[in-house]
Amino acid sequence: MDDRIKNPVRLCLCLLLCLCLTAVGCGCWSSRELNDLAVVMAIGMDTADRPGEVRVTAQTAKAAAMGKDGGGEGPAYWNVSESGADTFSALRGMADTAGRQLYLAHNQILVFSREMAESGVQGQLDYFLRDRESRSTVYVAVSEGDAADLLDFTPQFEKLPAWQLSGQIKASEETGQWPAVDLLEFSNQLMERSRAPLAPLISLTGEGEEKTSQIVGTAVFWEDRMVGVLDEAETRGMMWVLGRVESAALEVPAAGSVAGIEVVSASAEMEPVFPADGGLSMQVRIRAEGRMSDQTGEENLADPGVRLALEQSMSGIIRDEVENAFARAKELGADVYGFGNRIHEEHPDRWAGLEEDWQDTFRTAELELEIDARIRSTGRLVEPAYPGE
Amino acid sequence: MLRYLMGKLGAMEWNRALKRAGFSDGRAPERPAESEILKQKKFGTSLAENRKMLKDILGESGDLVFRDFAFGPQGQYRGLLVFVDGLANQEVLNDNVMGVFRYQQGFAQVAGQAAEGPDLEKVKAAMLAIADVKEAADLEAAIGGCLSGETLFLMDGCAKGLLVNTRGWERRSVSEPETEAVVRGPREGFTESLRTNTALIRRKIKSPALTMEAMKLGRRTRTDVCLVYIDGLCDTALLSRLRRRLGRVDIDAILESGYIEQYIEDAPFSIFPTVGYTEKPDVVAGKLLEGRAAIIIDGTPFVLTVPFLFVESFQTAEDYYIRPYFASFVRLLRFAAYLISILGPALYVALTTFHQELLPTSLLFTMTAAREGVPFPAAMEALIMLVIYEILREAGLRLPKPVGQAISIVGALVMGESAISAGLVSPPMVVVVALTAVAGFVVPTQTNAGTLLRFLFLGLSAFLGGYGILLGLLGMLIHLCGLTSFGVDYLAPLAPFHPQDAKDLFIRAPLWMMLSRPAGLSGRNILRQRMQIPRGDEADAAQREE
Repeated sequence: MDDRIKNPVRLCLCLLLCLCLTAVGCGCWSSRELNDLAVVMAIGMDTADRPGEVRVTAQTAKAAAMGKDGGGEGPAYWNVSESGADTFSALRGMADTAGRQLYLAHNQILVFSREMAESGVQGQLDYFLRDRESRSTVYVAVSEGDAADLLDFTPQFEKLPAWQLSGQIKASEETGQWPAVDLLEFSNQLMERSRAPLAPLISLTGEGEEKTSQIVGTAVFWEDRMVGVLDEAETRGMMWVLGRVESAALEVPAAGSVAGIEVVSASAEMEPVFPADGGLSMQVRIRAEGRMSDQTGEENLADPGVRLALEQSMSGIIRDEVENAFARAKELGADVYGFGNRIHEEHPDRWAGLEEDWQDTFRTAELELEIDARIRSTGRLVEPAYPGE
Repeated sequence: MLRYLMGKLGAMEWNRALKRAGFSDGRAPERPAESEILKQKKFGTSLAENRKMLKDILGESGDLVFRDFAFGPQGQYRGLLVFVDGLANQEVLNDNVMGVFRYQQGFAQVAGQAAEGPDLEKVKAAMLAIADVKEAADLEAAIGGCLSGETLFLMDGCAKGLLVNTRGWERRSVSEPETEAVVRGPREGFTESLRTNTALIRRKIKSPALTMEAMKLGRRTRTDVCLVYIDGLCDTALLSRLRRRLGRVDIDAILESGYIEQYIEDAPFSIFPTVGYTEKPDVVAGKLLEGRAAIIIDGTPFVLTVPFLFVESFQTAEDYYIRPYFASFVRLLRFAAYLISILGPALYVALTTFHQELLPTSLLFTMTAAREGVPFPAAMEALIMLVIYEILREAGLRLPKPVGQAISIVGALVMGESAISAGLVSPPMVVVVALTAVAGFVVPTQTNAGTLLRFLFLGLSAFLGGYGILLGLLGMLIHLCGLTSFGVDYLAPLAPFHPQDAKDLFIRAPLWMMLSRPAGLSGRNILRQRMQIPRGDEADAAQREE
C-alpha cells in the first residue's frame, strides 16, 4: 500500500511539537469579546493642572446606542479623562474609570489643545506612533479651547462628536478648503525638519444644544510648536500651491456681474530657482480647470472674448490668494510648502549650505507664479435663460 | 499510527471471539468458504436424490418452490423446477417453461433413442421457449442462479441441470434522482437493478469498446458487481489496480456501493473522498469517456467512479449542457460557496474576537450592539448554532412526511427567531450559520467532509484566531497535495499543474475548445475532437467554396 505511515511515533511527536509551538506563538489570551472593549473614537490632549503632565480624554462609544435601532437615551458616547506624566500612563489609568480595556484601533481623530500645541506636541505624539493598536490614518487637529470640551457636544447628523469632527475634516479637504492631515502626514512633515506641519484648527461654537464644531483656521507649526494660524483665504492660497485643491468655488467678476466658477481640477508644480545674483526664488506653475456653474448677469459668457476675460480674472484671483498666503507664510517663517524639501531633492549640494538657517532663508524667498486657468464648459446652458440685448 | 492501533484492536477482538468459540490456541482454523464446498458437489442422475440434496442445502424456506411434473406423450419423463417465488417471473415461467411442457411440444427430439435416455441438450435446443438458457456447471452455480431469480430445471436420468432466466421482480422505475436534479439535461437516474443500469449506460455509449466485466462480491450476499470502462481509453494500470483491490474485498455482505468504496479507497483515514459516486448515467458516460472506470453494484442506484479528484466535486453534468459564460460563473460560485461553507463561522469568530481592527467601524458597532446581553462567547455561540443545525438537518432526513411540516416550523421559528429574542444567540451569528449551512450543499460530494472541516476551523479560530485559520488551511492543503486517487494526484490539474486541463478547472471553456482528455488521468488517446470554432454562416460559405 502506498500510503502507509512510515514512522507513526515520529509523526505524532512532530504534530505535538507543532501544536506546542503554535500555542506559544499566539493563543486565546489575545482573544477579546466585542463586549469587553471600550472602543475609543477620539482622543483629546490637554495640558494638565500639574506642570509637565498631560490630560488625556478618550471618547468611548456606547455600542448599544450606536446600533441600528439606536436604543437608550442619552449620548452615545462617554468621555473619560485622566491625567498622567505621559500619554501611556494616562491611558492606562483610565482602565479603572472605564471598566473595560480601551481599544484604540478605531480612533478617528487626535485633538491637541492650542495650549499644548504651542508648547510642543512631539512628546505626546510618540505614543501614538509606537503603539501597535493605533493607526496612522487618524486625523490630527488642534482645538481652540480645551480638547476635552471640543469632544463634548451633540452632533446633528452623527451619533458621536468624533464622527462629526472627522467628517468635517474630510469634507473640507474634498472642497479644497482646509487640509486634512492624518498622523502619518503630520509626523512625516515633522520629520522633514525644514517643513512646517499643519493641522486644522477647530473651535466649538454655539451654546447649549446648539453647540457644534467648526474649522476656523489652519494651525501652522514650526518644529513641533504651533506658531500661527492661517485664515480661510490664506489656507486656500497655500492649498493651490500644494496641489490639494480638487474642487473649489470661485467668484469671478466679469463684465459687470459675478460668475461662479467651479474648479474641477487643479495641479501645481514647484521648482526652486537660484537667480544669478543670489537669493532664492520659488517657481510655481498652477494649472486650474473650471466649469461655469452660476452667473448673475445677463451677458453671454460663452462668447470667446468674454471667456478669455473670465479666465484671466480667474487666474488673477488665484494669484492673489497664492501671493497672500505666501506672504503670511514668510511672516510666520514657516515653510508650509515643503520648499526646502524640493531644494533637497533637486539641488542636494546647495541644500547642505541652506539647511542650517532655512527659516531665515525662507523669509527672503521670492515667488514666481505662472497660472494657467481654463474654463472648460458652461454647464447645461450656453446662454443665460434671460439673455440681455 | 491510527491504522496500527486499529489493526491491533481488530486482532484483539478476533482472538477473543475465537477463544469464546473454543479455539484456545488463538489461531483461526482452516475453514473453507461455503462456495468452495458447493463447487465440489455435482448432480446425480436420480431426481429424488438431487431433490433431497437441494432441500438439505436450501432448507425449508417458504418461498422456495419445488415443482415436480411429468412430460412426454405418455408422461414418461419426470422433471423438477426449482425457483424462488417473488424472484422468478411467474408469467414467463407459466407460458414459456411450464406451458411448453404442458402442451407437449417437440417431444420427438427429446425422445431420442431409448438407449440414450432423455437428453437435456435437446430440451434446451427444441423445447424451452426462452432466449437465455444455460447449463448449470455445478451445484454452486445452480443454487446461485436459483437464488438470483433463475429457474433450475432438472430431469430424471440427467446429471445436469438447466438454468432458465426467468428474472422478474418488483423494481423501481427509472426516475429523476433526488440528489442530482438538473434544470437542463436528462433526468434519468440509475435504479437498484444492475441490468437496468448497464442498459442505461449502453444507451449513452454505443461503442463496441465499452466493456462490462462482471463479478460477484460478498460471501453471503453474492452481489453482482460490474466494472465498466472503455477499452483503449482507460489506463490499463488503473484497471489492474482496480481489479486487484476489488479482488481483495472479502466480506460477508455488500449492501451498497459505499461498502465497496470504503474497501477500495486510497485514503481511508482522510476525510476527503477519493472515490466518486453519482446517480446519473450521463455523468457516468462523461467520466468513462474521459478515461475513468465505473463500478456498478446491484441493489443501489449509486455508481462509483474512479479515480476521483478534488476538482470533480465542483463539476456537475449540467455545466456542460449550458453555455460557457454562465457555466463559468456558476463554477466560480461553487468554489466561493465551498470556502464560505468551511470558513464562515471560523472567520466570524476570528474577526470578532481577535481581529476587530479588520472590521469597518460601523460594522463593529452593529455587531457589538447585536451581541449585547448574549451570555456566550462568540466561539461557543457558533458551536451551539452549528450543532443545532446539524441536529435539525439529521432529523429532517428521518422525519415522516406528516410530521415534517410541523417540525420544520419549529426549527425555523423557535430555533431562529425565538432564540434571538430570548437573547441566547445574536442575529449575525444566525445569519452566518445559515449561510454556511446552505453553502455547504452547493458542492454535494464534499458536504460531509466540509461539515467536519467547519468544526475544525472553528476550533482553530477560537484558540488561535486568524493565524489558526491559516494554519488549518495550510494543513488541509498539505494533506490534499499528498492524497492520490488510484495513482492520480488528488489536486490535479491544479497541482501538478496541467495547463491544458485548466480549461475545465475554475471556468468552463467552450466545448469546442476542449480538445484533449484530462492529461492527469491516463494520457491515452488524448485528442477528443478536432478544432472547430463554430462560425455559423461563414463556415457554410467556406464549405461551399471547397
